This record gives sequence, C-alpha cells and structure tokens, in this order.
Amino acid sequence: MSVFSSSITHRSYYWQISMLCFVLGLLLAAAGHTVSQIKRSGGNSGRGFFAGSVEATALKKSQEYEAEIAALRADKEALEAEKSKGTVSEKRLAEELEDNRILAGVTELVGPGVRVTLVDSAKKPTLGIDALEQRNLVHDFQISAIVNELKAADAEAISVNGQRIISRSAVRCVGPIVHINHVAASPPFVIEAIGDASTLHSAMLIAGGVIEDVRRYDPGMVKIEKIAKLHLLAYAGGTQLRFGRVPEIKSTDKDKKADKPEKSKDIVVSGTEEGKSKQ
Amino acid sequence: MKTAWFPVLSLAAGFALGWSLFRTLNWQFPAEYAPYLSVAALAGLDTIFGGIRAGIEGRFQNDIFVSGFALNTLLAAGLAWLGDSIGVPLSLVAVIALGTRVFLNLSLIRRYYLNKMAMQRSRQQEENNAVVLPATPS
Repeated sequence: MSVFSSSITHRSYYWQISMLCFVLGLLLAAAGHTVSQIKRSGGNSGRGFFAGSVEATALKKSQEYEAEIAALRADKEALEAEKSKGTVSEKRLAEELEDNRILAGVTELVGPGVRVTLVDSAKKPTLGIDALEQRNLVHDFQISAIVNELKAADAEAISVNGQRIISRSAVRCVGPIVHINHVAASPPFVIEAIGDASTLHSAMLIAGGVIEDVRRYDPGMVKIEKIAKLHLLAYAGGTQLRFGRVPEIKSTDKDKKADKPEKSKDIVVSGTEEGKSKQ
Repeated sequence: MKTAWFPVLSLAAGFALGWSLFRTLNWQFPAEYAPYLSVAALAGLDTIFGGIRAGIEGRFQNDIFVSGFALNTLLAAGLAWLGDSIGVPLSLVAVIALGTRVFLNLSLIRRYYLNKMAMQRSRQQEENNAVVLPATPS
C-alpha cells in the first residue's frame, strides 16, 4: 500500500477539517432549509402555500364580515326608517350609486398596490420544449393567471395596460398580440393592482406560481414593484347587455310583510324544536 | 482516535446552528437559488472528503484545502448559475462530477481503514505465533 503513508504523523488537519465541516454544516442547513421550505409550500403544485395561515385569515375575514354585517344592518334600519317617513335622501342614494360604480370598475381608483411588468425575453429558447412552448414570450394565460392571483390576494382593482379589469373582462391572445377588454395590447404588459401592497407582492412570489414559472425561463421577464400610489383608469368599454336582465321584483313592501312573519315563524319553530329535543 | 470525531461533531454543530438560525430568524433564500445552494453544499462535501483522503495519504496541505473549499463551493454554484443562464444544465454536470469524486474518496477512505484493521490483525497473529512457537518444541 504505497499510496497510504504508514501512519498519520500530523493530526493538525483534523482541526482544519473540523473547522470547514462546521462551515459545511451551515451550508447544508441553508440548502436543506430552503428545500424543505419549498417542499412545505407544495413544490410545483403551488397549492397549500397558505395552509398555515388559512385559519388566521378565516378568522380575520369573519371579523370583517361581522363588522360589515353590523354596518349593513344599521344602514338597512336607517333606510327603513327613512322609507317609512317617505324621505329617502338623495345623498344616501348617491352614496349607494358610488359604491356600486366603484365595485363595477367604472370609476377611477387611487391607492397603494403593486405593479407587475412582463416583457418578452431576448433569450432564444435553446431547449426544444422551450421553443415549442414559446417560453420566451409572455402569454395571455400567464397574464390572466397573474390577474387571478391578484384577485385571490384581495386586490380591489386591477388594470392591464391601462385597461381596467371588470367582471366581463377577458384577456385573450389573438395571433401575435394580446387583447384585453377587446383592445389590443403588446409588451411590456403592465399589470397594476390596488390593495395591500405587501400581500399582493408576496402573492406574486408564491412558490410554484405563474411568476416563478415565467422566471424559471428568464428572471428578466418579470418586474414586481410596490407602489405607494397607483392611479387606475375607469373601465371605458361598452356595458350594454343583450341577454341578461334583472328578474322583476314584487313590491318590496309586500316582500317585507311576507318575509317577516315567516322569519319569526322560523325562529318560533326552531325554538320549539330545540325545546322538544331538550325534553 | 478521539480527534477523529471532531469533524463529525462540528458538522452536526454547524448544521444545528444553521438550521436553528434559519428557523428562528426566518431567513429564506428565494426558491430559484435552491439548486445552486445544494450544488455548493455538494462541492463543500467533496472538498471535505478530499481533505480527509489527502490527510490519510499524508499529503494534506492546508492552503490547498481551505482555498479549495471556498473556491469549489463558489465555482460549483457559479457554474450551475451560468449553465442555467445559457440554457445548458451544468448543475447536473456538477452533481455528477462531484458525486463521483465523493464516492471515490469515500471508497479510498474506507479501504484505508479496512487495510489498517487487517494489518493490525495480522500483526497480532504474528505476535501470538511468536509467543506460541517457542513454546511448542519444549
């Protein structure tokens, strides 16, 4: 065994190795921790990322809803009171109208949020699959996936290249360009969303999400910025309906009269049922 | 032989410290860096085993070892990044090359210890024989 010297005379190298083993331990921990984080976040499926925070979110939401319900009830009572007097104030009607206009997206809206900019990559696809999928280009499904992710993260208003996204909006690829609200748009695609900037920002960085998928091809294709004050334009397209119509409602007075006794009956019935079950 | 456990212990200590730091301070590397980190860790592992092997062979040089550790980890991660940015999966190449070396070094280290044990055993037998042999003629 000429390769191996007879015995280890100097043991100093143990110390060197120990030292670097410590560093290696840190490195392994970093790698292992990162990988475990990715695994916990659901890897490529992108699902279950929020699983840990679902409970907290649900609790917060339910508190918000409770507050909203209380406010609406108070509103309703005030309205009923006004109606009984026969004086629904114009101011209240205007407020109601404004709320609905904001919800519909036909007003301009200002607020904090994020801006996501998507550009085509200058990098030519080298792998066959990348060329086949044209991964160097921004696609309509990516834009609509981002819009969906922003909605999921509680965005209050979204626009793409100045086109406000409303309930009837579509993002659709037509040949080499993308139509948004039936208006042609070309890269760079600027998606702006008003909402909690940090929530929206982290929703964009969701593991296994669309942004990560785009960035896997070329990180330069996506830019995400938090903006303190965004100004979204109003939806400018047509709003006429051709098919849908609101079902006719019988006079609300009758409704109320019909409603109230039933409800009170319900309560009575459930009360008696409870009583029975207790007995 | 007690000092031989120091590398293992310090590896465990480093891992534990790193893990708890990441846990408590909630540090996070972006997901896209995970492959580079893993390749860097593999390069570190390769250097460590290379160092142990060199030590066993009696040609351990501390400057080569330390610079090798630092540069190899950086180079491996850098190569993997370069590969990703030019569309060639160089991280795979790094994993294969480094993995092969780790296995080779491990097998050499194992052989050294097995040889040492065998030599000890034969020496003991010789000693036993030496004691036994003079006793037989009488």
